Amino acid sequence: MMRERWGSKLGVILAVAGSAIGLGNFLRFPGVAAANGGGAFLIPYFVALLLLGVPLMWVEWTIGRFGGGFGHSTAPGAFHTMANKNRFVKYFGVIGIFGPIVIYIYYVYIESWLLGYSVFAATGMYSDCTTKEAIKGFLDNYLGGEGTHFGSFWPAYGFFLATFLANTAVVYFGVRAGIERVCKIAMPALLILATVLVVRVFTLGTPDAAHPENNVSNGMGFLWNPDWSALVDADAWQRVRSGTGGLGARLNDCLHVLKSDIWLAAAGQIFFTLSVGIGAILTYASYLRKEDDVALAGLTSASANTFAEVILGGSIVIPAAFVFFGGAATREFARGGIFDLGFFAMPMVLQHVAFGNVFGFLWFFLLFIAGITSSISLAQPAIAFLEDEFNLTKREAVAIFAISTFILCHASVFGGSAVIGELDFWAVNFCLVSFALLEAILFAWVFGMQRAWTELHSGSDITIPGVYRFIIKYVTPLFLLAILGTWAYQELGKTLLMEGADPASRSARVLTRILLLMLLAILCFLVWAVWKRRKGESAEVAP
Amino acid sequence: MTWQGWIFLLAGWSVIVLMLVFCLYRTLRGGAGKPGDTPPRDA
Repeated sequence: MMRERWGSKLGVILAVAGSAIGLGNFLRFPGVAAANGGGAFLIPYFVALLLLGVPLMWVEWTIGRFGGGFGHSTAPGAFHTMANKNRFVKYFGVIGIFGPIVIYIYYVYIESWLLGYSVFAATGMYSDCTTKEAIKGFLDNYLGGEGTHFGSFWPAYGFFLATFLANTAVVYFGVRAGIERVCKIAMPALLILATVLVVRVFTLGTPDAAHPENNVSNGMGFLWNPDWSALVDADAWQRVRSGTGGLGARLNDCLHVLKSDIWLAAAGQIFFTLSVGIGAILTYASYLRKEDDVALAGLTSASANTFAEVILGGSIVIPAAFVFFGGAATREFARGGIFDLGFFAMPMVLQHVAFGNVFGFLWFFLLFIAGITSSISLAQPAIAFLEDEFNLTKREAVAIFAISTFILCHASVFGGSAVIGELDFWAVNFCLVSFALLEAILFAWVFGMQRAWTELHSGSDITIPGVYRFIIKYVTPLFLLAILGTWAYQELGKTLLMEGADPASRSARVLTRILLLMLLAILCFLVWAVWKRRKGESAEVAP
Repeated sequence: MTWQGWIFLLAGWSVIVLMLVFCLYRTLRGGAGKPGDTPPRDA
């Protein structure tokens, strides 16, 4: 079967950037930055970008292209080939298919809300919701089907169907005619929509004459003014400078000068925003040829994502909320997370400006575009696995994937926030970090740094500084271990025991975990069956 | 916004824009001896 290929270098970069640029760029980054020292957050953010994000981009692009050279577009096959056909390592690669499917089954549903909200914004359906409680009630009404705005659940289900079909149609047309073509249109469109919104926010002025301090400049300051106390422990620094205490105490002070929270928050943000550790970039890179560049392409996609996040994402929702609600309320919205900022703060803000319906539509459609370019990348690993390892046609692979995920998506559609939260927790916090750690260890330690470095530079358009040999081998895995260790220490026990969870949601959470374990077991079985069949075929061919 | 905020904003934005421009320039121009944004090179 003829292997699919990207049509152009820019096409694959836009596709990977589209995969990386998602809701987190416009909603998560501003909230995390504002809560972690503002401008001071940018220091650990850039350090994490250089030590964690960019190296992992290179690792995943290189593993993907390497696996593609042997006809494997997904992690089980790529890992198996890189680890000299070790019999166990392919099962670790299952996470690179499992993780994207799990994210896909709730991400598509949330994406459908954005499509729905862009229609509601354009038609002014929530224009009577002027308070946070009212706009929150609108979302609850939309999802629950009981209330003044929606009489049934069918509108939400209709938008879910439309979004699901749109995703299926894109992946059905394949890598070049589907994903690449859509991203070549969607990414410039996203840039234009975001720029229009940034310009609108920057021209908001001072709407409330009674509060002249609530202006755009101070709104940007809310995000950018550095709060050094978030970065440095002033007391520990003072003790280090004065040189008081014994050797042990001084060493302890030195270790505590930099606060770990902000560094971990920055590492987490970089990690999640770049879409590394999912397996999607690995699959995208597998459609490259051996002589195609991955070093510059990986850096370009990381740069595009950072541009969308810091410059565009940082200039819309936080300054807009600050201008209309002031610092205290904006802090509350930021603490509430991406839903509070995206679904509550922005619609309320845009109702106060001229042509608010139009700007509301642009806002939600921008998020929808960011969402769909990410979700199609989540669909591709499972489809590629079926095509490559089972020799299915594109049509057959897409049909199996669409039917399976359509059924699975209903767990999110009808399970509510408990199910979505459970899926998100295991997929994002556990699968992504674990998979990235496996990739980094496999690349630098199992495949071997010398071979990995040569493979990374094969066909490269840039020369990567030699210091990155050290960073990829030691610093990146340690960074990932720190994130995984902190997560396990702070969250794992509590989540496993469902501490603090609503008692009514416990059965839904348990069922979700059983569903996840079953899905993981099925994928492991499929990998086992493929390799068993392959072994049997080679035994028949051998004399 | 304080003057420190402005410095962080301008420095952060400058680094990101320069990085992106460098990457896009090299991508569209192509590597040494290699064509730029071109269709597939093999059959």
